[in-house]
Amino acid sequence: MGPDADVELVARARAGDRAAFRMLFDRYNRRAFGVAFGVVKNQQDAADVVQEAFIKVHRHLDGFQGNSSFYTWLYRIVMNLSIDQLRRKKKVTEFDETVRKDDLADGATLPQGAHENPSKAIARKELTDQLHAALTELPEYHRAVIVLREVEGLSYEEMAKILKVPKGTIMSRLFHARRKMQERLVGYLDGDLKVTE
Amino acid sequence: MSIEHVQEDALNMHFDGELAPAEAASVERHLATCGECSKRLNSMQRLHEMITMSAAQVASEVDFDAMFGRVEQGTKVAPVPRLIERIGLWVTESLQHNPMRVWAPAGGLALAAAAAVIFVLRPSEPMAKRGVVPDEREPKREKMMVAENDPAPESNASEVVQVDFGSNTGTVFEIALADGASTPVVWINED
Repeated sequence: MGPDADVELVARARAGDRAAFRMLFDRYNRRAFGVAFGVVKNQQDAADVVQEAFIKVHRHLDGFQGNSSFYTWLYRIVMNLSIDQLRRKKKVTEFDETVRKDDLADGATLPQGAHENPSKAIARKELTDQLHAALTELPEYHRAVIVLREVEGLSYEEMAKILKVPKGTIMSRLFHARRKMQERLVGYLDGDLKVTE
Repeated sequence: MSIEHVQEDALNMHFDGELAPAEAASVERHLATCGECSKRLNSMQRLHEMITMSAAQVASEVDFDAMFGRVEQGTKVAPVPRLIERIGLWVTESLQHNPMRVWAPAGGLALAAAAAVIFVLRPSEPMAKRGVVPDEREPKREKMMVAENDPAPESNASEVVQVDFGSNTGTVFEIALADGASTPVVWINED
């Protein structure tokens, strides 16, 4: 289903159709979560962002004009809330750092670890840690473009609309972000470490 | 013979599917023969897989059904009412539980409003009736009129002279100031 179906679901949700709103939620919650997590880098914060984003969407359904696609509208809200959340978190950096380390120590980001062989689990954990560390080192405007592109597969034009910057800026940020990630993860990108299923 | 590799921008755009078909075909031809550029492209693909895999893993832990329940709860919470709505609500609740909370400030407001209306609508009075000192030009004219009707006062007594202004009568006072100077004050009778 594409943007036309979204417009219809939005119209039904606006008229109070709960099932239509649920369909919109189901269609985009994981992608929205992927974007939020890519920016805030914390599962609970990302979940809070997505929850708040859908509440905002519901409250402002009347204001959705349909000039942009529903997901462009949603991701703009998610991105803004993620950045707000990140800035609030920066005020309590030490606390946040402790929680993040605790999360990693508990294996919270590696749910499949208990069901796969130990060596693969270790490799996956190491890879996840390195990836998160590399993402963390990026400035937030680089992280935003790489998440929107790699997780969401948005075009340069769509990213430019969501982030409200020229297409050339998107390209520049994306290419720089990729290069930094590749440099940071060079040992994991040469194909020697197989962790995908 | 040196090989001209695909520029970084063009390789990124090719990977993202943003090149025009003719340019994409040209890059593809080069990649078919250049191991170095193919390796760079594979590195991009690998990074993409790592990021999507990580995102999928983390998302798989989230209970989206429970989240939707919280979203629905959030949508049922009424938005913050406007000020006028909050005042209306406060008045309604107070009238039910403690009417004096409403009538006492309301009475005060009514009295203040009545006083303001009386002040604004009161009949206009001559400036001098209210004991206002005329500006510099006016006293001179009044002084001249005094001089024409009566001689100057002999002392610092406050009442100088009764004056007939034509349609009104009044009194001109000459007030002695601390530095030895004096200033006139005109009082005009109502009739």
